[in-house]
Amino acid sequence: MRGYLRPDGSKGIRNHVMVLSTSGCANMVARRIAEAVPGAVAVENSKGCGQVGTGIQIMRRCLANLTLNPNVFGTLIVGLGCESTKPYELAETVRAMSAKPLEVMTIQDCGGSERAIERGTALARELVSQAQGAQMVEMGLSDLVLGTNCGGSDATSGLAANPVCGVVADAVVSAGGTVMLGETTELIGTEDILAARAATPAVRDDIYRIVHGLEDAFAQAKVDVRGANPSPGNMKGGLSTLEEKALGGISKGGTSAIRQVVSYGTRPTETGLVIMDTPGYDIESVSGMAAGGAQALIFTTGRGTPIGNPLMPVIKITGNCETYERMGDNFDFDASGAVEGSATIADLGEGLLGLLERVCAGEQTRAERYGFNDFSIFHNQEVWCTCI
Amino acid sequence: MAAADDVATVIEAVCVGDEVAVETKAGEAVDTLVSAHDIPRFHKICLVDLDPGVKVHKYGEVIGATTQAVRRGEYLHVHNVESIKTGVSR
Repeated sequence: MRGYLRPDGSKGIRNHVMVLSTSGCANMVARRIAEAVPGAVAVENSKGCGQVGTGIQIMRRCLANLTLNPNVFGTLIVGLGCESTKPYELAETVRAMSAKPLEVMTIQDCGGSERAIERGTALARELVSQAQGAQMVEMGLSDLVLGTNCGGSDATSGLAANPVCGVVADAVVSAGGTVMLGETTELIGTEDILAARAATPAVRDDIYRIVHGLEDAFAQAKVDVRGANPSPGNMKGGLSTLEEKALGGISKGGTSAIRQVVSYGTRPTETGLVIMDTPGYDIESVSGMAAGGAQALIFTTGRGTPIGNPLMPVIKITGNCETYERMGDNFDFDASGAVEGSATIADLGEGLLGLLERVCAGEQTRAERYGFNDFSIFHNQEVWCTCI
Repeated sequence: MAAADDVATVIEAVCVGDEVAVETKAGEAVDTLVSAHDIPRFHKICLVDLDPGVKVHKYGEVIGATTQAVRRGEYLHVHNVESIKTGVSR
């Protein structure tokens, strides 16, 4: 396969011009700009203002890191102008991190939506024209950062889709690439298994730190995680407890040593299998991996979901043959043979690896064909109303 | 199922009185039992007699604890098993 060479030496499997909204208030303008310019894609923001503490730190880190995703050729930052993400400061931060093309504008400085859309469209067109000159070079699985996620799980997820994804994860890791395992809520109950696979004592400590930290946070907030996890659909699909869901879930990361634990939206500095501390909510978890530099993501589901991402192809697979038949237009791969007895996990894994390579070479996933650009950066520390 | 498991996932929906053949993931036949309940597809049948409050194993690992006695052949799900890692009780 071949990839788009970026200034930092990374290789993209897509060549997007990103129109990045720094606050929900700028989303509609960012969307109109991207719609007007083929080759540009809007990344809309569910927050970006009214955030404090670690919430604003996470937001700023993710916005900056998104521009570094290898699938991004260059970025147009579109701000409102008064938000706490500070669009011009963000641009300075990004310029200090990377030599990629970058433009920044705010709606308030442009003097309204119409002028902002006009200005943004011109800037995005110029970026797209530059992107057409991006150099293509040979790339392999060693250049890949592969995200993984499971959502709408059922009992087939742990029997088929996740272990099949795990075969691909092992292949990417053994080739020298990187695989991300996330969704800390769904690591609860598996921490001893994961810690035993930690490459170093520091990684082992980090695994316990994120899992026990989350359990403590639930306890302090007097929240019973069972209210949301397993979800009603998980239970209808045969999953009885969080531990059962989690034990099925971690197999999507394969069997290799865990090299690093990174915080949400942070770029790993190690290759191999890494854990990103992400929430169980799929769109936020997938978006965090895009910020962490994943070029592609394998998404396993039992119940079915249309989820996509603006920057990464999301490859969706299921181990439930009924779901595959009922929601076929949302799936890229059928792993149900491992449940039905018609195929082995190893053979299906080989098939999924072939699909991943074709997607890296440009084949569009179902979510890409639909243009499904689901995106949300995890936000915590909401303090602006009392929640009586 | 894994060798040390207390439960198995039914690959087809099961009715009361149906005979259920249990296989490992490798396809090795290890058990046959009669279902005491209707069990939906991909839900779990209990393979051994479990007392209340004991750990339940799937994937060779603990998935929770029983909240009441569950007998061999019975349907095991949220009505008789619960998470140990609730967060609140920790």
